Amino acid sequence: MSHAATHDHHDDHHGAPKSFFQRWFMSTNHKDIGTLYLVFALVMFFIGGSFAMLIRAELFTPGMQLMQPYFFNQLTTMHALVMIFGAIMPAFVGLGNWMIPLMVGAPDMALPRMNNLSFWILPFAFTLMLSTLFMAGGGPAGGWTMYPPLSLQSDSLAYVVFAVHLMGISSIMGAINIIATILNMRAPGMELLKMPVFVWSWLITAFLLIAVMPVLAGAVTMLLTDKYFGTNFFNPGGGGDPVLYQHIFWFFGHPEVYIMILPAFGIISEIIPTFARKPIFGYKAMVFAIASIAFLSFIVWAHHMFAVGLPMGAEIFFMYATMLIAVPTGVKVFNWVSTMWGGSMTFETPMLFAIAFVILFTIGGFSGLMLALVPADFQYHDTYFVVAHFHYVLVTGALFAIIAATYYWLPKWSGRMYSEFWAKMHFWNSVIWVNVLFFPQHFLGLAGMPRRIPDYNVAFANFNMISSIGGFLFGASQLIFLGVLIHGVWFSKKKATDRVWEGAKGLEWTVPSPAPHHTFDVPPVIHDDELAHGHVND
Amino acid sequence: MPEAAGRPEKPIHMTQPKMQHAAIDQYDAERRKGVRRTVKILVVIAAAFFLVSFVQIVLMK
Ligand code: HEM
Ligand SMILES: [Cu+2]
Repeated sequence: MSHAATHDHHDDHHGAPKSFFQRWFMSTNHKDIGTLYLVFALVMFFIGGSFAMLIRAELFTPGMQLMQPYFFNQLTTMHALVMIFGAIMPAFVGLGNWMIPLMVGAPDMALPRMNNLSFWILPFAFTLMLSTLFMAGGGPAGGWTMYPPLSLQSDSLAYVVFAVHLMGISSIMGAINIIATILNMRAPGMELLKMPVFVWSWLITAFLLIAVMPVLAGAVTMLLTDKYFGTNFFNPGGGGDPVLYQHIFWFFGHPEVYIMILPAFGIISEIIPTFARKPIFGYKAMVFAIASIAFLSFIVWAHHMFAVGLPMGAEIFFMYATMLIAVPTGVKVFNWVSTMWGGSMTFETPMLFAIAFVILFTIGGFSGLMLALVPADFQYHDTYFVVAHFHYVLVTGALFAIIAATYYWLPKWSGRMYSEFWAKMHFWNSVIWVNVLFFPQHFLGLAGMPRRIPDYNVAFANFNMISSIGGFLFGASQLIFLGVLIHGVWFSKKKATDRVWEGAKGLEWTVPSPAPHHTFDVPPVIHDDELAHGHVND
Repeated sequence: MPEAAGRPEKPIHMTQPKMQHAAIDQYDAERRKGVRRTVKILVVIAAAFFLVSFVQIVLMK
C-alpha cells in the first residue's frame, strides 16, 4: 500500500526516538532541529549579551575602569559576531525549520540529513571562535567587519576565518534546504501566491544567503592568504588595495543586514493579522516589497563606505539607491498599519512585540535614511549614531520579531500556554529599557562620540551613564524571558488549544498542540478559507 | 476518511482533509526529482558567487 511506503522509513511514527542522543544528535526531524537551532540561538543570545553588559559597564563612566583597551575591542568584535551569526540568524533558521513545513503542508524539510549537518556545524564553529578569547593572543579585535590591515594583525585570524567558513557552509546548506522545501514540498493547492508571508520572506532571504555567504567566504579567504600565504590582495605594498576588501565585504554585508530583517517582516505579517482578526492588507504588495528590498540590497553596499573617498558619481548613485529602499519599506509599514486599521485588536504579548516592532523599527529606518545622505554621513560615520541606528533595526527590529514569534508559536510547540502576565512584564521592561539604552546613543553620535572606543570625553558622560543603566536593565529583563520560556515549555498547567489564538489562520494551526513529531505525512488538501491572508484573488 | 479506516489505532494529525493515497507515490517521486534539480541549480549559484568575489578583485586591480 502506498500509504505504508511513505511511512516505513520513520523510526517511530508518533513519538520522538527514545534515546536522548538519538533524538537530538542524530535528528532528521524538522521540529527537533528547529528546537536545536532555537536553543542554540538563545544560548548565544545570553553569551553575546554578557559581552554587551561588560561593554556598557566599561562605558558607564569616562576613563578606563574594568579592562584593557585590547580586551574591550575583543568584546565589541565578539559581541557582534556572536549576535549576528550565533543568535539572530540561527533563531530565524530555527523558526523556519519549525514552521515552514507546517505552513506549506510538507512532512519535513526537503533534505533532512543535510538539515542535521547544517545545525551541528554551528556549535563547533562557535566553540572554535569563542575559544580564541582564552588563547594567548586573545580573540579577534578588529571589529566584526574584519577590515585589513587591522584584522591581519590579530593572532586569532585563522580561527575566526575558519569559524566564518563553517558558519557560511551551514547557512548555505540551510538556505538550499529551505528553497528546495518551499519549491518542491508544498501540499497540492498551496500555490506560491497562497503561501504565508513568513514563508515568502524566507524563500527570498534564502536566495540572498546563497548569493552573499560565498562572497563573505571569499573575502575572508583572501584575508587568510594575505596573512599566511604571501598574497597581496589587500596590501598596498604588494599592489593590493584595502578598499577592495570593503567593497567585497559590504557586497555581502548589506544583503546580510536584510537577511536579518526580511524573516522578521514575515513574522510581523503573520502576527498582526491574527490579533487584528483581519487578513493582511495588500498580500501581494507585501511579497513584492520583500522581493524589491532584496533586489535593492545588492546595489547599495557602498553606503557603508561613503567616508573612504569614493568617486563623486559613486557616492551619488549609492545615496539614491539607498534612499530607494525606503519606498518598499514604507509600503510594508503602511500595510501593517492598514491591517490593524478597523480590526478587532487584542493585545496579547506577540501582538505587543509586533506593534513595538512597527514603531521602533521605523525609527531605525529613519536614522538609516539620515545615514544615507552622503554629506551627513561624513559627520555621522563611525559614531554612536550608527550604533543607535543598527540597534534599532536589529534589537527592536530583528530581535523583537524573534521574541514575538517565540510567544506566538510556543504554545504550538510545547502544547502549553506561557504566563501572559510575566510575558507582559517581559515586554514592558524590554520596550522601556531598550529605548533608555539606545535612544541616547543618537545624541552621543550627533555630538561626535566615536564607536568602538573604551574611553571618551567627559562631555559624553551623562548620556553614556543613562545608556548603560538602560543596558543593564534591558539585560536583566531578558531573564524574565528565560523564566517565561522555562515555565511555558515544561511547567505551565494551562493547555494550549489547537488553534491557540482566536484569529489565527494557516495550516500550522490545524495540527494539534503540541505539534506531533510527524505532521502532514499525507499531504493535506488546502482550503482557501484556512489561509492567513484570505482570498488572494479578491 | 479512508486512511483513518486503514489504521484506526493511529491518531489523525490534522483536522484538514488529506490527499488520496493513490496519488501519493507519484507525488513523492516528483517531489524528489524537483528537490534534486533545485539543489543542483542552487549549488552552482553559490559556487559562482564564491568565484566572482575573486574575479572582482582581479578585475578591479
Ligand atoms: C531604511 C533602510 C536602511 C537604510 C537607509 C540604512 C542605511 C545605513 C547606512 C547608510 C549605514 C552606514 C552608516 C555608516 O557606517 O556611516 C548603515 C549601517 C548599518 N545598518 Fe542600516 N540602513 C537601513 C536599514 C537597516 C536594517 C534593516 C538593518 C538590519 C536589520 C541595518 C543594519 C545596519 C548595520 C548593522 C549597520 C552598521 C554596520 C557596521 O558598520 O558595523 N540597517 N545603515
Ligand atoms: Cu547597509
